[in-house]
Amino acid sequence: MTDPAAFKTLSAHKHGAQLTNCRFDPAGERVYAGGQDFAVVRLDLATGEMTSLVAHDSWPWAYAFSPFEPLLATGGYDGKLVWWPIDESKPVPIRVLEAHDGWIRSIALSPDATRLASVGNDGFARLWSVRDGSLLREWRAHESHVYSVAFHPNGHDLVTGDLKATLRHWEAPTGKLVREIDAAKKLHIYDNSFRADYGGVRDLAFSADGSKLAAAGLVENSNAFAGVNEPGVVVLDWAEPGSSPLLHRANDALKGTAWNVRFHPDGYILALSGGQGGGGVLFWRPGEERPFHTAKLPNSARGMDLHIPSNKIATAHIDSHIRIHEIPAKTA
Amino acid sequence: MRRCDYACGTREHALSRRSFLAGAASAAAAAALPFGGGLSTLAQPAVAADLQSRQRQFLVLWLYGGVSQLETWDPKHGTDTGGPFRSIETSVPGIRISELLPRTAKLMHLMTLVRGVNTGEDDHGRGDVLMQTGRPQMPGVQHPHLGSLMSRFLTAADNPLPGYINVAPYGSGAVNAADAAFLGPKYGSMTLTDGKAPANLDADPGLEPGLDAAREALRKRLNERFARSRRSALTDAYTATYDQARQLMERKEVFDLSKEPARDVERYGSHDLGRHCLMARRLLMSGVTFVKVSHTNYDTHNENFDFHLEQLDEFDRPFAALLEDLHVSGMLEHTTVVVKSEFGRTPNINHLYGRDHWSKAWSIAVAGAGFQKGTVYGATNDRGTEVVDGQVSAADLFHTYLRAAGIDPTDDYSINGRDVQIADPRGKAIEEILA
Amino acid sequence: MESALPSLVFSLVLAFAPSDAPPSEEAAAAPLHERIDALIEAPLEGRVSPPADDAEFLRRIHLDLHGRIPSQAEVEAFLADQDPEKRSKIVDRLLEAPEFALRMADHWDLVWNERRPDKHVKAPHWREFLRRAAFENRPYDRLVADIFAADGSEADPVERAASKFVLDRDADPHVLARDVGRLFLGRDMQCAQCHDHPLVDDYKQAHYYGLFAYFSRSAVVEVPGKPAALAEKADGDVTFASVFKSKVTHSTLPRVLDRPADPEPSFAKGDEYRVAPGTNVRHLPRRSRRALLAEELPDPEVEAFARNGANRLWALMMGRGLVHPLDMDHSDNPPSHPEVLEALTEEFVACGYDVKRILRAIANTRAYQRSSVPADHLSDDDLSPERYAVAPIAPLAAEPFGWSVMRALGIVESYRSAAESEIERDPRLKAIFEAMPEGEGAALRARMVAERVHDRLSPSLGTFHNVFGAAPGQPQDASDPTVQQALLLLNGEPVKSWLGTIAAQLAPIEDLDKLAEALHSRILSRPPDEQERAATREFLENRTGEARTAALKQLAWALLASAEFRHRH
Repeated sequence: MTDPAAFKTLSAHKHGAQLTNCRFDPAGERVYAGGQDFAVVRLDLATGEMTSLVAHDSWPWAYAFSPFEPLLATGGYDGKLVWWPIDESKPVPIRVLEAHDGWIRSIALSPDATRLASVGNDGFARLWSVRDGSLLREWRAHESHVYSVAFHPNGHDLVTGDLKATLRHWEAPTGKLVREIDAAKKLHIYDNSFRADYGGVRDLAFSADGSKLAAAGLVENSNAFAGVNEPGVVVLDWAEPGSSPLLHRANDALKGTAWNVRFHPDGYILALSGGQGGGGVLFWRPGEERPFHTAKLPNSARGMDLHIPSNKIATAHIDSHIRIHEIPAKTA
Repeated sequence: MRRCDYACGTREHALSRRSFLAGAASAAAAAALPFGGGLSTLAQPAVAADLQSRQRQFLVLWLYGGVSQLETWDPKHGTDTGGPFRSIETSVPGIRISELLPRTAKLMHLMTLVRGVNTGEDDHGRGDVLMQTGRPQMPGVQHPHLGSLMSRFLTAADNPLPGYINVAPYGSGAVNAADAAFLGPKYGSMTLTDGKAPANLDADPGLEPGLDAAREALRKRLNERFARSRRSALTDAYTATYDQARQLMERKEVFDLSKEPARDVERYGSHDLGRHCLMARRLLMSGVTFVKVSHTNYDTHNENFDFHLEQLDEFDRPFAALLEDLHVSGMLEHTTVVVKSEFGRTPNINHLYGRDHWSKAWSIAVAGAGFQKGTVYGATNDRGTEVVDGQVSAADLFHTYLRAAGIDPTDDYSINGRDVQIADPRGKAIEEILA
Repeated sequence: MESALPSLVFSLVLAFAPSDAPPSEEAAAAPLHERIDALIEAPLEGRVSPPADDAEFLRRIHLDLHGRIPSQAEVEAFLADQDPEKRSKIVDRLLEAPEFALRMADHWDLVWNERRPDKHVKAPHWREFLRRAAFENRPYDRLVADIFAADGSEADPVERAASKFVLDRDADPHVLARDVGRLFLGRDMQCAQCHDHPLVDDYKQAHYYGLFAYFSRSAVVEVPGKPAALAEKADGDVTFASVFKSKVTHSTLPRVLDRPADPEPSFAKGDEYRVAPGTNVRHLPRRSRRALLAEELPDPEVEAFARNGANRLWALMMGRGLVHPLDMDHSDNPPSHPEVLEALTEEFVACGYDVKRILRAIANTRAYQRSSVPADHLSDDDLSPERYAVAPIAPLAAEPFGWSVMRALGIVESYRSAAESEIERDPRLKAIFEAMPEGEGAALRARMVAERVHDRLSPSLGTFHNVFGAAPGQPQDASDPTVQQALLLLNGEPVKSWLGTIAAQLAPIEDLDKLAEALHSRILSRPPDEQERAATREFLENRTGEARTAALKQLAWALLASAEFRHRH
């Protein structure tokens, strides 16, 4: 069993530009982060070596790895999907697709690693063949910007979330809408004084058994344009999303946005909060509104990933650092 | 009858202007256009020709809160300040603007960009005063807004419509007399809240016309009686508001957007700004001198990119439609268009993906009557942190707007016997962009 | 405030304290109003307009002291009155009427609160606080002291409401420094926040920060279960530097303008607090800087305080300040009549800041009572408003206009009769009145009637605030004409329905001459002339029944929409 209260930072690695998002490779040996200099930064944890992967014409934002081959797909603000052979010392893209008209906010690989789903500001969801990059299917998924996409562990169900915090459940093979889920609506507001939508589903994660879905974002917004809001994670029952979804919130009115959320095999949920209140990793027990632990980060962060089984956490920061942390095992 | 019509020191008296008033007074009357809506009436050459001989008109798009120059007119893609959005080609080779304005980009040949704006005022309230009046805010001193000036100097005396209309998403719906400062409340801005007609435009259907005429005649007689002994600018202004109100009632269709063709509603978009821009077209076609359309809000200290994506998507479509319509109808020949804010936004991207207030190096866009077309004036450095060429101040811009509308900004008002130049004497017009 | 009967009875005991108590030192000197007239008229050498006629005067004094035009009965009674002293007598009568206290409470609310929406203190409590003060003619210096002495912890919600000025500005020291300067010292020192004022030599950055220092340690706290109140730290010094000379840093203790600052006592460490800071407590220092302002602002040594107060009372009656604008008192903007302002200020201090006394003196001047019709022998320069050779003509502000419309159309009087008969029928009240000493019962009764009318009709002013008022947080002292105002009167509610009220009230008057008199006295506060009588006949002749009522409505409308009605003149 791990002990989140013993959360500790192991190392920090500086890049030349502010970072947006990050992801572990499946082996937990490398971390990839998006730089505001348009580079995908590869950090080798063993050596600390950092390599810039250059192909995007804007901020890289979304990541997906194949568990079966050394392949990384990235999506960015430029609407491009880029496929990288990540074992090479200086990776050169295998493939660059003009995938969306506008920013790609999220991509996800099917559990069998054959299909890649991407969503973007153009409102479309697209399914790509991992083998040859061909477009398998596309459909207009939302009326507003699509912020996130996730495959259910069954490989059949696909869920997307948008700026208005609407969740839609699709049949992945057909693109058919199964149902619309309103249970995460708390993650959106229309700010009347500013006349704009704000919030949205910033990240989606299924529990390993596929019974729960977590949607991350923000709540308690009092001033959209100053970012006065608190992180929020809605966890709902996938079979019956409408039945008592739980909103997990921060302690002490911590200000920020929940950028990423993960289920830990030990049963708790963790999310990254970054924003006005600085950076923090929040840990909740299932069914409890408030976190049992909040690990403060030295700088506000915008992206987080969890690696299992190493129990390492990577965070991407505004001060241009990738930080690596650990959730140690409980001592007796 | 007194030898002096007005008690001295009143506003009207303060405005015995030296020269160009005579010109404005003789300006051709605003021809009342048919209320059919759409551009069909304007497509006829005869009507268009008539329009060209008509009064100058002015349109301001006010992007409230401070739009980012980097996400609009002066993109710096590929630098640390540029943010994620790319720049795109426009209809003028060599001029690139943000990819968030694809429709506007196609009309760049009608526009001029001013990229070296340095206004030195980072506060919303004071920036607003500075950009609306061309002068810094000073306690106890108020200068008229551009709209009030235009209303005062460009509106023909027999034009029944308010000279300065502000189409805004919200507001009290009242006339803001303070905008007019010493010009007098008549030249204040009338706000059409959410683009809707002013309240109380409908006459009481139960009031028989004969009685209505009789009450009006009696009101006038009472006012004449009062004016025989106590005439003043303010009492005259008050009695005049009733005539103006009746004329507005007769022309209430001016405010009725349902008269516009469905295809135009579609082209402009059914969102607030779409409807408001269509209303602006309707008002300008009806002969309103100065229309300001406010779009809110661009004060993006947080999530600058998400919000500019949203707001500029709302802006690009109706703005391009409106500019194109003004062009096609020939109205752009006598209508000046300005897109501006209180200030721009910082090149630095803060920890909330936001940009903060920034007045040191930002941009505005202009088009239409009085201006060159398809050009850029001024430049900032690679990272957008400083003006490196063609720096202009808020006062310079104000001079330029007035010149574009045919008003000499160096002319004087006389206020309580003291001459005050219309535009801040510290500024001068940007000759290079004037037609 | 109909439920507040016990407190009403209590405060009434304090209420009608005679305001013309001991005269000031120079009893031998000419009365203040005569000295004012001498000073104003000396440079004019006889070039002044003649006195206003009785109707003009009566309308003006009602508007200024009660905030609305006189009723038809009041007009008729005053015009018929043959007493040569009737003008000074009506001034006295109006000052002692409950409507005056209600008007002053509304006035201070507008001046100090500037139509801000409620934040921490509810408007009814705040109004009741101001009313209590107005009914007892609380001295101006004490009223202001009360505002800064309250900290929001008072158990009685009305006493607590005194803290609205500070609490509803969120105890923001910048907002408060500016507003205390503007509203109580006649100095808008906003530009002195960052450096000495660039245009006004007298406004120093040190003055701004001296005021700032009273508030810089205070904050609004909301302890669970209690209303918001002010807490204060025991430390935190105010330093400031000019943006022009940023290397030179100054520090200041709390002080009002150039009044010397009191030295700060020092407390042993751990003993600085009465209530030490902690979770969910309202921390309080041994010595509150903020509370000092209650003593130091109205201090006679601070001349600007009394001077601004006197200038504001002058402006209330005369349409403009002797120093004008009211918050630009500095040597480059001198008063139009420095000696008048001096005399007024001296008297204000000498009589113990008695508001009624100052207003009475102003109302009794010839300057106040002049006609607004410019005499032919006046030069253009003489007509400048700051010479006071002729009474000014100015649009009524939102409240007096709305109240006057309601009075003109018979709404006030019909609410009044309803309130009167209600109170008449209440045996409980009757017993209370009878148990009170001679005169006091009648006074309480009058106050209750006035308050009921005022409170029930105040909501109807909403439309007038919206269409005639200035924006919240802006001075609310005038209302320039706009087309929306004309549209409201032409077509809008509630005016349309109210025209039905007056038509119904006047329809029974058969005699057209009498009808013309009633209409003109009610709406224009004067009798009709021959032409106007003829116009009434023309309007109504040959009409009967509903047609006559319909015409009567529009006849009333024409008078209501006239420039004469819209303006104070």
